[in-house]
Amino acid sequence: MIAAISHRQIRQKLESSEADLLPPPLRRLARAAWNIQTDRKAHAQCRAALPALVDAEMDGELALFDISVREHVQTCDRCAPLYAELLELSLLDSLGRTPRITAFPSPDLSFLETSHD
Amino acid sequence: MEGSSEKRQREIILKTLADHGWQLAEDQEQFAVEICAEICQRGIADTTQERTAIQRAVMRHYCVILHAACAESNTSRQRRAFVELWNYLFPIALYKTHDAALAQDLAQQSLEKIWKHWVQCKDPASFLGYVRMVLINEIRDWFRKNNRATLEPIDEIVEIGTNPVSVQSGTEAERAENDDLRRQLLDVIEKCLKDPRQRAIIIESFLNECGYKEIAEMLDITVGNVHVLRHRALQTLRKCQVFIESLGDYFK
Repeated sequence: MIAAISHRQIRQKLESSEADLLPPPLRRLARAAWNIQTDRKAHAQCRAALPALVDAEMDGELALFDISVREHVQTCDRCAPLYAELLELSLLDSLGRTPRITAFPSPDLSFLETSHD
Repeated sequence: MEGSSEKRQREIILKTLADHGWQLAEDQEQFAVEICAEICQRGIADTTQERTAIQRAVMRHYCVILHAACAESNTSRQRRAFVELWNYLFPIALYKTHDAALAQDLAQQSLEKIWKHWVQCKDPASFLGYVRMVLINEIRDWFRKNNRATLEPIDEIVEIGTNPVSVQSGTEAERAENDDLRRQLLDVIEKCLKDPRQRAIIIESFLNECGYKEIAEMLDITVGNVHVLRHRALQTLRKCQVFIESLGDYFK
């Protein structure tokens, strides 16, 4: 009789190359459920790509966007909420639902006169 | 006919620029010509869709101009660019914090960060998205440091509409019939997730590769709600023995 696989064993397998045994949609779903990111270096790159990913979704061109970024957002518990928030803001903006300000306070732009260093 | 369509498009372009107070497109006629050409190439028949597409195109094209102006050094265009960024950020900060003084502080900090790190924006056509991300990070940091919960509780599900959710839509069933894996996955999801909205979100997100926006429109809820329901569904799946066993079958 084969013993049932444990929660911990699943995690180990999803973190290893054995995860390739799973069909891609199931692998993505399982890694998202266990919050497993395979490539930590990719996190910064994906985060930088989030604004463009939001634009792609707003333009109905999500399917054309880099699959590795889309997959990362599906499985990363830090990028996913940020992505949702950015997308929500973009939608509100496109619907004109952000507050309409008639008299703006002035920004302090003195930093423009200093050096970047 | 062609002339009236171009005229309508041009009016939308100029109105979009005016509504946002965007003044950095020096040659607005040329700016409009480029966008009209792009829209014509896409051949959008529906006027509502055309309007949205034009507004999106204006934003993309203008982002490139804004990004370039921010990169200038101590010019009036650079100052104007940062004023426009401020006018864009402040309402968002106010919306997120509900506090004018705090919104002003956070928008100011964001402006300075954008000035220091604008090179980190890899895609100038998405510059406003980058700018929004800087602001959101500032807001999150502030709430974290001050041990305050965000003003928009992410745990709260707000119903926008009452559209019933049908997991077994016609196309869904058709696809599932032709695909063993999909059928198996649908079966597991059905067994593990009781909430029909959670089921629909997992199916659309992982099987049909739909984005948050598309799913939100499908279920008539907000993008934030989609994220919360998705997060809960994934937590449930992780604990679901049926799901664990179905994964185990592949690892035997």
